[in-house]
Amino acid sequence: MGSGFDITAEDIRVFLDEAEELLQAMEAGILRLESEASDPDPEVIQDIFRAAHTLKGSSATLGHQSMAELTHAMENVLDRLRKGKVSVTTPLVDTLFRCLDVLKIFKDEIATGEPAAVNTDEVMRELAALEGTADSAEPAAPAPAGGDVALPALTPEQQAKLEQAQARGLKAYQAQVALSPEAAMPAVRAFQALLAVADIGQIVLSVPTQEEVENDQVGADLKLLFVTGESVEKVHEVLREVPEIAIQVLAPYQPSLPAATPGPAEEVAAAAMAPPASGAAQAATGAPQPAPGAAPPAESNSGGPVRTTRSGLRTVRVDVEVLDNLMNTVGELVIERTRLQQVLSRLEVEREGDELSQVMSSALAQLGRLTGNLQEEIQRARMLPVENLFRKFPRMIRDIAHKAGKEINFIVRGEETELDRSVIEEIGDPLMHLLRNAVDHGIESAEERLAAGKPAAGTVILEAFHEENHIIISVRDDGRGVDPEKIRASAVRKGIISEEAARRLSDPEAVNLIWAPGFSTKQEVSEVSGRGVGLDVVQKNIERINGSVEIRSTVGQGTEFRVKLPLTLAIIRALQVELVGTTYCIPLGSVVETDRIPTSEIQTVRQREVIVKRGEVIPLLRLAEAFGLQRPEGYEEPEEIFVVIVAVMGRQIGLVVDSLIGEGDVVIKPLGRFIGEIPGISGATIMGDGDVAIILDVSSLVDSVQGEAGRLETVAQ
Amino acid sequence: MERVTAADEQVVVFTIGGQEYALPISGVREIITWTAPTPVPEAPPYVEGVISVRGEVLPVVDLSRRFGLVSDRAEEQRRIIILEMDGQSAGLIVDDVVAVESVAAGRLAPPSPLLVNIGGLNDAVVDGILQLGENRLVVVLGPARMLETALQ
Repeated sequence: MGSGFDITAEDIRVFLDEAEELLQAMEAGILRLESEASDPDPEVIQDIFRAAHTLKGSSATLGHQSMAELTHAMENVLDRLRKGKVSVTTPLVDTLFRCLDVLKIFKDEIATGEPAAVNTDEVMRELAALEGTADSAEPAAPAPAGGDVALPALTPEQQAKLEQAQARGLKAYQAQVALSPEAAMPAVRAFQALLAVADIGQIVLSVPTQEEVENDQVGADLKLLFVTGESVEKVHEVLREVPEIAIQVLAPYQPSLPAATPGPAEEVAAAAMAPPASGAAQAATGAPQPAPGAAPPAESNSGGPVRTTRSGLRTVRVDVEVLDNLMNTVGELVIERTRLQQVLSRLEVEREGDELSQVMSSALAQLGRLTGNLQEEIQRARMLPVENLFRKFPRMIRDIAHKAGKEINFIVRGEETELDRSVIEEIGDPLMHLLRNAVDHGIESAEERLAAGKPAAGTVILEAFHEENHIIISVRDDGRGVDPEKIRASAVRKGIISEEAARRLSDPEAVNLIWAPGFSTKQEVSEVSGRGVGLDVVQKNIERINGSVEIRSTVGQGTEFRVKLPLTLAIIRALQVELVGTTYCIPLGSVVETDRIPTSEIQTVRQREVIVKRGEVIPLLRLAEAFGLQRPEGYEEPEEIFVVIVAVMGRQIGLVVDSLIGEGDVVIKPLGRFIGEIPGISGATIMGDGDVAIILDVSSLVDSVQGEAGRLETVAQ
Repeated sequence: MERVTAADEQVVVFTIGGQEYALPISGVREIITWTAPTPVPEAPPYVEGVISVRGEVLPVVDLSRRFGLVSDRAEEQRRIIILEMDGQSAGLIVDDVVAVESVAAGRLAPPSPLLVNIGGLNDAVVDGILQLGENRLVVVLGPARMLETALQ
């Protein structure tokens, strides 16, 4: 099947999106099959089947024959599974997984446009083996070699073609070949039959047409009218070389019997055509007008796959960029509304009680409500359930567990929890690493577990849930836990901290050393999680999207990593503060508390101003000075300063600001290429009055005061 | 008004500190009235700050400071020319926008060192000199190079 169709980049994108979803659905289904091997849920099998079928259709449309053939072969096995003819066994599950792997490679092949040189022979053989045995029944009745074929009426062009050929001394034949219901790709067989005939003659017409065949629209058989100089025997010979077809009719064409008025002869012939001949019957009895192009579509054989209809879907795919643009537009709308509001307040002052200003006031209130709704809806449109991300993990855990020789009971909860699309995109890798870590380092070997009085199978729980204005994703295991003693020893050995300092660390502080660059609790880096990426990178990646991660562990009982994420990257809740007459925003997620502190309470430790709160020493950062902002002349420091205490990973500093303004949702905008990255600043936002406010990057501000070394130093004091 | 022919290019003529300058209109997205920029701490030297234009946050550059010119306008009377290059935009603070002029091909003289130094500019940012009238010489700036220079 050539790919002589107009495939646009958009088609490919849609295909890739769809394929990704289908592959994930299949993977989830196969995993379920495996876990319920003794009593598989027919629904699950049906789901996998449906996904394979849809993928077959779309890959065939795209002209990816190997992908279509593979999915078709999977379909056959799944069909037998569905009918209870085979049962769920480990080889079966493994084969299905291998198929998925190959399909993923095919998908990438389509995405990149570069052939991946995959050989499907082996996996096809495995599938064939699974499919084989029991009832390898051939299509029942041996075909009659004579009779008539119910062909549609010839068009004038076809008639002319036929007459010309006959004038040249060629003979016209009609043929009907049955496509075996067991055929992996009936369309391919039909296509081969067409080619075989075209090789020795000229096809006048076929049902289905070549185009339909290329589109995978084939029924139970293929009907042909062709001219050739060869003998009937020769035609027989070439057709017999096509596997998985059976010649039912091959006879000289009788032009006197147009199909437009089907005589009893044809009906008998059609009825005699076995096995499932509904396609033929349909063509025969319903023949009056269907033009060749309008032949009944595929899947007429009983028990065959049901074409998934899309009419029931109420969703559309939208480019994220469109949503971003919508979001921007709404932002402007809000700003314009604020301007109108200002006009209104002036009107109200100048023309008190004026009817016009009252109308405007109510219209503006309404406008405000509507823009608010709009903003909320668009934000919601950007949200996706984490399910899309979580679906990847069960298979990964299964593979890692197999490799590590561990038995893992993997539980996923809260898949329906929604997160902004951009957050989901960023959080996949860090989560994958934490999960690998749990399986590889967290869960003990079966022997160790049994010795510790635990069940042999370890449990890993991945859970997502809401917590206030955040989403928490927790990765929990019931493994050996993190031993602070071992961490201390390891950190000292690796030169991350001095022995003296290590001894002073509390147990939770010691556990937090795992985040230090270059730290790994296992002495040897295992094949599974040792990919050169440490937990420090995981932490950095999570912080980059305004999230945070913490570890909670009990020796002998297990470890939990808690990833705290903002609901969205685009909008954050921020504390607005004032610095030398300008508004700045501090992401509320990192704000611990705000306080007014008399300057007399500021102490100086090692040339740095600090305050002491509840026995904790908190270094201060005077933002105006740090940013080099010019104070107006004659500025005198007030007797009390405003301090916003922020924390990143338990490291606290106090930001000194001029005053507190309030809090609100702000949309983060980049500062752009011309300005570039400025330490301490993560972006800007447009306020309700159209002014721009700078958003502070708390993480880098904390780093600037308490570097990695500085932190340990403070701890060690 | 001069007639615009196909070979003509249009330039936006504006003033800074009494001197006339021009920018090719192809690089100008729009011209807006004064909007006070929000200062960005530790931004490149000639970035006056950022403003919001249609939901976008854009940096604003003050050329008069870059070239040692003294603006003769009150802030509120100044204007901001929004330049756009490669999908990135930035604002340029000017005293006033005078006119949009058509330049017949060939009337743009290459910058002579003598003329260029009039406005305290250097040839890094000047595309050419345009003679608009008897005693009217306009320095035509190259927007991309100018922004690059300003942000250095």
